[in-house]
Amino acid sequence: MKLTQYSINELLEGCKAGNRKMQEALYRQTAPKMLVVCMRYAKDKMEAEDVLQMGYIKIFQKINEYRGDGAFEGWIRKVMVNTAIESYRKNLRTMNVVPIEDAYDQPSTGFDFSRLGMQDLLKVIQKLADGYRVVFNMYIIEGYSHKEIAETLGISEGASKSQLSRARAILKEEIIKMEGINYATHAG
Amino acid sequence: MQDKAFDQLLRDKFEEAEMQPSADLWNGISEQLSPKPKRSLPVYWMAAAVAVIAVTIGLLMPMQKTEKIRLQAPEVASNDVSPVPAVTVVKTPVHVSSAVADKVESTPLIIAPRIKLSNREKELAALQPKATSDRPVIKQPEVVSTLAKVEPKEEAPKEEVMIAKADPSEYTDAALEPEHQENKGIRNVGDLVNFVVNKVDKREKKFIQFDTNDDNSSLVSINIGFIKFNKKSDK
Repeated sequence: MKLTQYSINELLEGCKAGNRKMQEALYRQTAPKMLVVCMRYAKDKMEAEDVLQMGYIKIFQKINEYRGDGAFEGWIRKVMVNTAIESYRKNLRTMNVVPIEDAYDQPSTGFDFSRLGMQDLLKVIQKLADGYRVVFNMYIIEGYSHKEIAETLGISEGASKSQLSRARAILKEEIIKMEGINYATHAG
Repeated sequence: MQDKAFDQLLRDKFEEAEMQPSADLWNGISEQLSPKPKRSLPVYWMAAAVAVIAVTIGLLMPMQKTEKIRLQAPEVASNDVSPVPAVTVVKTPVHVSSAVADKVESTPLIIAPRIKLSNREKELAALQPKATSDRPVIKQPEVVSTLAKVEPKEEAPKEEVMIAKADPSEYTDAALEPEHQENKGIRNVGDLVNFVVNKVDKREKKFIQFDTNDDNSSLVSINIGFIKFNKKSDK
């Protein structure tokens, strides 16, 4: 975490004291990364920013609970992930498989898999059904176990596993399709 | 590609990824961190609205009251035919014309305390004005009431006979009519308020409710948080 203007301790103490300037500084420093976290869980940027806002309000309200064990950014990220999961559970929609043909409307600039853009990847993830997306995020990116996911979401471990494998299959397929299109546009 | 390698690749994509949030997002957070006291205002607006409705109802009520007393008259009179005459004296004067009522009303007011004293002589004396009061007008409503009571009794068996004769069509039609009237929709102010409140307030205990089964709308319940009133639950 780059904290150019203030040190972590300064920000932490300022936020604990409820200093609005320090709160804003912390937000400016960390929000761009946290928005990506929210984007992974949300359907679009609007939903992601709603979660981001809720997450920061929680962070500032609960900042006294941070005891300094582990990285501060890790704690912020944890609060943000929990907020996103909570938000998903609140607006739990039916887990329909959403058609994903819109996923590659805007082709990525690179055609190499390793050069796949983060924005393109986000688009594919956001097109996943809500249930797939939340399990994908919790397992692959956040590193939760299937047991933890099952407990948090109130589903069975089997459901968590099957949703993950289907999410993975869809993602692979879509990424390969996207590369094909990109390759075609480049070659043609 | 193996799942693990694929997963790692996705993790790497997001490792240091950043996106700029909308410029005004911080303002939203800042506002929510120090909520303004403006939030309490709607409560006062609701209270004011209730007050206006209450006053409107209060103005409409007196006109309806006169009708209500007349509707109760036959019921009370017919009930008083059999019991002790002392009861009739106390209750019936209400329905007598004002000139006579003044005379009659004055006597029972004196009777009540006398009976409580359990003085038998005075009780007997108290019974006398009753007799006089019964003579002029009170007996008339009684006669009328008994007649009114007899008539439905004669009709009731007729209907039963008709059912026995297996001609249910007329009977059921007659029974259904009142239901149709109930489903008529918005007939008066009470119905209108109920309709609007039902649209706005989805709670079981509504913000305000009226009973519109009779022709006169009467207030059934109010629920605006700190003020709660429910006629049904009071019963």
